[in-house]
Amino acid sequence: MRLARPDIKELRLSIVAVALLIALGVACAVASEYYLERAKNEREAAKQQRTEAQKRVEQVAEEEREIRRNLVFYKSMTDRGMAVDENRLDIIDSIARIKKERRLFEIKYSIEPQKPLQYAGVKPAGPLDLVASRMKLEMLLLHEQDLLTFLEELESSGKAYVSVRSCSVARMDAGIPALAVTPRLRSECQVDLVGLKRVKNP
Amino acid sequence: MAEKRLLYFTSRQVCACRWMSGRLEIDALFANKEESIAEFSKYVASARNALYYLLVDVIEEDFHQENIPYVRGRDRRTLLARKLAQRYRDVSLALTLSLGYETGPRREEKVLFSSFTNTQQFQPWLATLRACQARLAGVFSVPLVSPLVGKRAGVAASRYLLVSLQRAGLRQSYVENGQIRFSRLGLADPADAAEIARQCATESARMQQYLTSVRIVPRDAGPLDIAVLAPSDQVALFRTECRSNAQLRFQVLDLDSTCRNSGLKSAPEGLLGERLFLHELAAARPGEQFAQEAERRFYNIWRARLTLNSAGVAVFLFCVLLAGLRLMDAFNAKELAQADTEQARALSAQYAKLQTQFPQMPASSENLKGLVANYRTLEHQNASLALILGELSRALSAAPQIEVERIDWRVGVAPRAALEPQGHPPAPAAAGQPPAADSDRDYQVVEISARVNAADASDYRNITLLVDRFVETLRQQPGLQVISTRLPFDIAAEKSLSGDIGDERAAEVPRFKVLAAKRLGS
Repeated sequence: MRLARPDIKELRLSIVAVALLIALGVACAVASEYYLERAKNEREAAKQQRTEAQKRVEQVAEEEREIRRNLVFYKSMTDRGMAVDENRLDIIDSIARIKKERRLFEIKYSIEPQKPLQYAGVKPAGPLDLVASRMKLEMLLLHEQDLLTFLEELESSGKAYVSVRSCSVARMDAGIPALAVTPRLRSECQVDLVGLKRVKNP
Repeated sequence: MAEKRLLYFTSRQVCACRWMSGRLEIDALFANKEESIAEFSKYVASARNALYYLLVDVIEEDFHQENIPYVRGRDRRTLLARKLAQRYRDVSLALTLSLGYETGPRREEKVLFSSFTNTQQFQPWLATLRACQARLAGVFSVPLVSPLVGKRAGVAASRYLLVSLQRAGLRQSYVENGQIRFSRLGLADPADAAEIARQCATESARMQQYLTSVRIVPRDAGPLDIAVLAPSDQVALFRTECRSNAQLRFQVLDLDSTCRNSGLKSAPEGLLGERLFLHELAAARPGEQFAQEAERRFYNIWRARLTLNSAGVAVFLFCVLLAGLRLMDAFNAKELAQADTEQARALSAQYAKLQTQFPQMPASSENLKGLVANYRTLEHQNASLALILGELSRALSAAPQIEVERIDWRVGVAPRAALEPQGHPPAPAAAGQPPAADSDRDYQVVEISARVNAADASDYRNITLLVDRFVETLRQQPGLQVISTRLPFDIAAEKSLSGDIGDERAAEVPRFKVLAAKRLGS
């Protein structure tokens, strides 16, 4: 079957109709493919959602046990005064009180701004997380036990969790008579006052 | 399906029939003369969308067999056209049929050339069809359809003569291997059955002699099969007249039964043998025909349009089917997704209900979990200054000659030496302890600066002994690693050593430094 050019012109309408039909068919196929893909994605998402929900329900007993375990630790934190917002006046009062009660020599301190705790292995936990204020202490001591007692009482004052990061103790009793009540040691310490803080955007 | 109209063309008249699902009806009869053309034009114009098949049954039809060299493609077409032009003055209604190849070394192709020798009688009719833009499927001849009729009639022989009576006359068509080789139309009076039966016998014998003489039928081929199509009521008469002999083997076939067997359901009474030929033409649609492509222009356009439309509809339906299947899959997936969502919702509600039984929490369970992990890490990294001072105090008690001048203690990464194995492998993390990762590198490091009393500064042996004893005592403290010891002198053989053994150095106090580390949590 051979067709001349004028004959092909006769087929214009058919060619257009066929092109439209094919385009329509292909459009239907493409659209259905799109809907199928979307439905499959929805199905996958729903399946995953269901699996996660099922897993949560199945692990609810374990989760409750874990929460109870974690609450024990949280209670330990609250007992140490970590849950209360840091009150620097209270901390200064505590230092002054310990100095007075223990008859300590001069104590110099400086507290840096509070920052998220940045120890090795500590990761962002969420809105409620650990924060630390670094405090530098310079003390004159009669005996090294004075330093240990001070740190112990600062901790037990319940104003914050005290994490001692460094301490230098140096002898300064050259030429001091043995029985004289005067500072014999100089200490410099760096202490982190760790507490809990609720951060808006962790 | 387009309507089929069959035009049975004889030298006297043109019979227009309508064929529909095996039923044949006569639409009109036109005398084969100029005056009928106008009427024929009206007839065609009334059914322009029908498919027209022109079946010619005239005497002026020539058959000629010739061998041509083995050529293919355009060369073959050119050669055949040239051969046709050489043989026939007018090739507007001519065809060539390949009859196979010679088996000899030259392997030539056997070709049958056929044409109507007087094409002028068709021209007004074909012109009318052309003018009316009728879809002419082709121009056929009764001999061209004969092999189909013979096959339908059940003639088993490979070469036979098909004899049939039509309005045009008595037709004898020689068929070999399913292809027409030669045909002849003789005049006959349909009213005289006995004469026709006799004529059939005598004409068949003459035809056999002719075919043998022109070597169309080989001389040693044995008796020639003659298939005679006879009306039901004349079968006996034909069998009486047509007796087989050494040259001819007659087989009288019942025309009416053959028509029924071939699927012709009904035909007008007036039609003779042509009804079977018309029916076969409409039903079988043979590929070979006489008309040029120009005559079939509107038929070709119609076929192209039909093919296009069919292809378009097929593609569209395929796509729609595909889309339907995919939509069904999508629908199923959506239903499953909905079921999963509902199940997830129910499970979440169940979880929320169970959560109400949980103790009150300061934060979400995940937050609390992270917070506790950090707290445990903090605890793990918190070192006790009191403990390490206690260990140092115990070591000093055993060495009263040593007096500490300064202690530098810190929590952090240990010097490299502490991290190397020294017989104190890192303790594995205890159960419930935070993960060891980075914290394994965290140590509490203490640097002790001390002096040795009651020893002469130049008494290197005694100083070394006292310091070694002190260091050994430190090493005995659990978890404590002594990393380095720095004496006021170096007694290593690789280094230089100088001294002054006199009274001047008696007032000097020898000093040394010890660097020790202890893993956090040990």
